[in-house]
Amino acid sequence: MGRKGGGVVAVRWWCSAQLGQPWTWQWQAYPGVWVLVLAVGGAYAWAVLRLSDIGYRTPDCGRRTADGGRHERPTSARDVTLFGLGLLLLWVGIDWPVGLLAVGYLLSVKTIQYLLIGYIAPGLLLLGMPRWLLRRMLRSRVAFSMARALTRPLIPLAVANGVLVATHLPVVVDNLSGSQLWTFVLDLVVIAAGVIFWWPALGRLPELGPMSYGARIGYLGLNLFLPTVPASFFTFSQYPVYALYELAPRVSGIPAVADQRVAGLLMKLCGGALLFATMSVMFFRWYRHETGAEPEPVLAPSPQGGEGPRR
Amino acid sequence: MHRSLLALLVAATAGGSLVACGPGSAAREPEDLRGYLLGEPLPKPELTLTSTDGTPFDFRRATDGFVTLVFFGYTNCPDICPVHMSNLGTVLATLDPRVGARIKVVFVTTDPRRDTPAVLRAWLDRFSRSFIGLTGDSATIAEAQASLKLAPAVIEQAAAADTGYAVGHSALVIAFTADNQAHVVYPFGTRQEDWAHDLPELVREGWGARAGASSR
Repeated sequence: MGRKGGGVVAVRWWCSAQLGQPWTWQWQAYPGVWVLVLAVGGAYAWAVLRLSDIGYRTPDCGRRTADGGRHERPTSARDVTLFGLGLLLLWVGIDWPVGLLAVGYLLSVKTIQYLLIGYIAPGLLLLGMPRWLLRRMLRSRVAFSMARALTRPLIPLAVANGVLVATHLPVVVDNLSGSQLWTFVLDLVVIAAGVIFWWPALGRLPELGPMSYGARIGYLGLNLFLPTVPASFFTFSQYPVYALYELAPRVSGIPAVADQRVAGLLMKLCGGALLFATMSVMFFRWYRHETGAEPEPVLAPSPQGGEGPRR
Repeated sequence: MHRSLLALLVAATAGGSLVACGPGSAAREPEDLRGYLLGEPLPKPELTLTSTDGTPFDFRRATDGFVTLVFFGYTNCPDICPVHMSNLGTVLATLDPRVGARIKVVFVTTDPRRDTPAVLRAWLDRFSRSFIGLTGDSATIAEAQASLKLAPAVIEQAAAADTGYAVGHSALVIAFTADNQAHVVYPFGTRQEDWAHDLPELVREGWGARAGASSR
């Protein structure tokens, strides 16, 4: 809480719909967003600066990390860049103006936000995590078992698409968007679903038995079709699906139906392009792997005794 | 402050003139409508305002026999007015043209100082060229609101040169049927699918012999 003109002014911690308030381009602070971004970025920086040093350079690191850290590739500039980019996109997606426009004014911006925090940012964050760090995070038996279960495609497929559908239900969007707490929870759920979605597709740890490249391409292909359902509703509905966006003060005079159609096209085209691009990269990596141009991933023992990559 | 004022006006208007249900027709129950039915229908008032082409507009005569949706608002309105007009414009464009031809949308400004006929026309054209814009002197507009049992619009205190003021006004759209009476009103929150459901019903409804005959 702060004070303004003698009265107490409530701090808005997270972007939520400010029902009936006209849109303004005047900047607004959302400290909860900064806390989250700083916490994630700070944790990564701490791990890379402190644990990486212990885990990679110290000769007896095996005793400290229990994961054969001596043989690990260190944190590279590429890792840091990818993680930093993911964090930046996450921040852009949940802070003003994208976060506020998404949660209270324009469905098209909500779709952009979903692509940012539900697909692009989680993928980059995961790619930016060095393997040694992932292994450290999965040291406990429970965490390892969960990570291993999520490597199988059915659960991530169900989670990612279940979250996509659930967070786009009119009853959820219209009733929960006005609450800072609920939008915070929903944003975290979307981010977590994004990480779970990419986990089997990126196959970061060989000891978890990642899918073959062909299976990964198939998995991404399945995800290409399922989001078509909500995208079609947006594109082909004659009238707005959500009361929230229909009755919100107009932004630049954009009609609600036009906004909804743009949202449908964005979900289908941009979401599809993202997955297609990833599938293409997978395909070429698969080709390089088959022709021997791509080196074998470094194997490291797991808490359960280790398991190599599945062929 | 603007929002609170609007809420008060809407609550006062709705509380004073709305009841749960009204008279039915033989063919179709008006309770099926998604708007609020008035306990006692409002007669279409006799009033003459100025249209956007600058000519006098005899409201009763010009809209006689049509389903007429009347709304009082202003073009600088940041929230309710553009949403109502946008929703109506979108739905009218999707309706059967024979139904659409039986409907007139009339927007009466509550801010004649800023809403000149040209400003009004340009703003309404963003939603539909068929919308009728009316202006007049403040006394006539206040009289028009009173005749429809609407609370008068309240202009925010502003310096003479200030053009950024807000105007508190009723958020109700009043729907006159072909019998020249309003049986139904629509508050803010009426959605496009509600309009799409009700407008053909209002045109078909047996409240007005002419509309009933022309649409059956």
